[in-house]
Amino acid sequence: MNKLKRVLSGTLALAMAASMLTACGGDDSSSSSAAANSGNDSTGSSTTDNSGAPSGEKVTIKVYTFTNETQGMLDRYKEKNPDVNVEFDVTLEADASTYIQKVGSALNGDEAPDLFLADADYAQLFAGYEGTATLAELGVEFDENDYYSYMLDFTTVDGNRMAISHQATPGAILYRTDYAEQYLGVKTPEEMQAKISTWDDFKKVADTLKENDIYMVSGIDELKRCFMANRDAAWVDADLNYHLDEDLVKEYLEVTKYLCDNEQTNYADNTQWKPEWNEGMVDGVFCYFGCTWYLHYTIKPNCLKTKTGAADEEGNPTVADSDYVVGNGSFGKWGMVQGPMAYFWGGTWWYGSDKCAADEAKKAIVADVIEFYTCDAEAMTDYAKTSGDFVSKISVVDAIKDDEAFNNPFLGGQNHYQYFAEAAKNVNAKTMSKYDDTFNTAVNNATLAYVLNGASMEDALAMIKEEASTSIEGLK
Amino acid sequence: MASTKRKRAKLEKNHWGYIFIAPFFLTYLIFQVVPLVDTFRYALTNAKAWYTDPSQNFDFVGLDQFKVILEDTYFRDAMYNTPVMWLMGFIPQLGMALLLAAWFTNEKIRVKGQGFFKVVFYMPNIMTATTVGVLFLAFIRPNGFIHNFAVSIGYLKSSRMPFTSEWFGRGIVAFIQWWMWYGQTMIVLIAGILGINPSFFEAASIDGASGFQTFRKITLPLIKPIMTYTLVTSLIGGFQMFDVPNMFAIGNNSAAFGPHVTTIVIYIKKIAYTGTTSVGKACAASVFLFAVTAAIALFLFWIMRDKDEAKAKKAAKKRAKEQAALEGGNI
Repeated sequence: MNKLKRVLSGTLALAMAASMLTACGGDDSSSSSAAANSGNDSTGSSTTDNSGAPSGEKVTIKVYTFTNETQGMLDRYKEKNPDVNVEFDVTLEADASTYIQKVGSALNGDEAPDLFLADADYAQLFAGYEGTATLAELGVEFDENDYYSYMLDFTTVDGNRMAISHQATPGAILYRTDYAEQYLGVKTPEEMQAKISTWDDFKKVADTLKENDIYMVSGIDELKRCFMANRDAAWVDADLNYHLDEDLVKEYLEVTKYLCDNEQTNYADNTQWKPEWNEGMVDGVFCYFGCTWYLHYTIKPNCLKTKTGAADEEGNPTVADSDYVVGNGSFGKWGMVQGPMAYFWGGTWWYGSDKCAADEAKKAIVADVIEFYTCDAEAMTDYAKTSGDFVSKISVVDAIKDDEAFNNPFLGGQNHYQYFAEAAKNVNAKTMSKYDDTFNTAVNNATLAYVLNGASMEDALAMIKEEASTSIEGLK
Repeated sequence: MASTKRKRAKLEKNHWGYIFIAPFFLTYLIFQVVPLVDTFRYALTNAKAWYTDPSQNFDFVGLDQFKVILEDTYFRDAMYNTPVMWLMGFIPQLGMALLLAAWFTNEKIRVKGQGFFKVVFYMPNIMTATTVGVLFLAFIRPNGFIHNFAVSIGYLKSSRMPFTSEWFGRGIVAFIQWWMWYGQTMIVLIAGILGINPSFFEAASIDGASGFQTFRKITLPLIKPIMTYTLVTSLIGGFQMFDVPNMFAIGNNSAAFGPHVTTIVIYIKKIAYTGTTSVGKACAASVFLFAVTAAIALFLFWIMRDKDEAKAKKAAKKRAKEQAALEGGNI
């Protein structure tokens, strides 16, 4: 009996130990396979593994990001630098407030990301966090005069450059050239610009298109980025004094209400990044307010009708390079103009954490990744040519903007680089503040109330401050 | 010598019991009790989340934070939305659960396939609330079936228009709460009814009581303790309602009526994690939520108490007093 007991307990203990082992093993393999599979760039990880060149121990860099571009960019980095033995453990969280919370609460703990990225809405906020390393601490070296200054000033705290972006993000209106020609008799971007150079003209064009069952814009917040970038000052100053650019916000609400009331939006409550938002990119919507990254990462893949790439995690087909042909969806039927107002939207800033700066091996790689995308002229030129993204380094932009490689087939041959190089000069980020993400939500809710729920203009304007002061303690 | 050894062995056995339960209590102490007590402390401060405020300095500001949240229209909206949505879901939920429980336990009807129905009714509760939220979001989106139906009966003037009515929004949330929870309540109530001594039902049927009379005069009074339990747990859950309305209120996929389904916990999460990440304010709101829930729960206990028993106790006390007085007089 005693022996039996001993055997039984022994087996049990073994089983428990074994289960612990499998649990750990399972975890490991799943995370590494996820990292290998999730890249869009199919050649990425395999080339690195096969080259056999990587030296030193494998370093795992923990990355937090809000955008699906990042994985592809990191895979690209690995592909171009086969001698760096690195694995990127990428966590993607697209919802802004969840992402801010995730980064903020992880930054000083053991689970802190080594490399993390921020959108313009909260780039200043991250720059102020304890736990964010300065670029100097990371060892990133660059010539400050060679960049669009707004991009660097944006994330400077007490004279320390905290982050750098690989892109400048002037905005544009992307419009359907085929609809323009058919219903408006417009043939060139210049003629189009003349047609929508003021918001009243914009409304008139919307009326004409509505008669032909074409929706002017996708949804309720389409014009938001354009208007909000043109505020006369930031929502709050350093002492948290609230400032409302009343005329501008009023005009924004009125134009939006006009479009929604007359059913000139694809879906009245459609907001950016909703599933229905993409629908109109294929057909039925005349224009989208987009910018540099938007052109390449958002509208270009979403305007396609047939996608033949491998299935993603949810079983939907992804986009293969061969899908980008004129005639697939609305590919090739777009043009680009500035519209009534110049603006900029978003941008991706790169940060290293203090935890990363304390680890020599990680620091070297993170600095190398950042430099690869923001300083290395050759790499940036290559990146710009393959992705079409608009880079932040002025000397690179000047060298390549007239290159025929940028006669974009998506835009029917229009050179988007020339356009953006011109527009980037007008970008002014002085109107941005730490809490823009909070104000974005507040403006969204005020717009909903005014446009769809019948609130008065006065109430809607008051709502912005009221809602913001709920989240921003001490707002005056 | 031998006997003391045996005694010690016995003591050690007792000792092991405490060691085995210690991990739970330690974890509970560290991760639940300490933060809980801390919440009350932070509610009196103007603390911000440490990562936005490197200095980590905060001052005790007394009850100022409570004043701030009570003056906040968004908090008052949340204070209104939450109980309203809870009641809109709970009243039909309890009614439906009572009805089904009465049917399933009725000896005269003898519903066939009870096990099957119980499983089916309980099923929605197994699903994650977020999943259910996403499901209903898809229904009310353009081309979703509720949306299409609303367009076809003319409730919405165009297929391009969203649902905007605040009561529609609250109704959807309440409906989901009802749908997810009536099965669970039903199971609890059935257990309560089965606990009633069957001889009461027999006596009632011999006396010629109708089904409704039996239900009103026997079942209902005797499952009162279970009803109290259901009511109070649902109240606590209802005031902490978060995951379902959150799907409609926040994020890229939120609905046009989102602000009208904002609950207290959504509000708390918002002030704790966005803007200046005002932890002190969020703690004050949490403490306020706790106080309100506790007060209502106590009130419910009070109205649901066994009045006869209380009366009997009072009478007994009175009698004892009189007895004592009488005896005292005798002496």
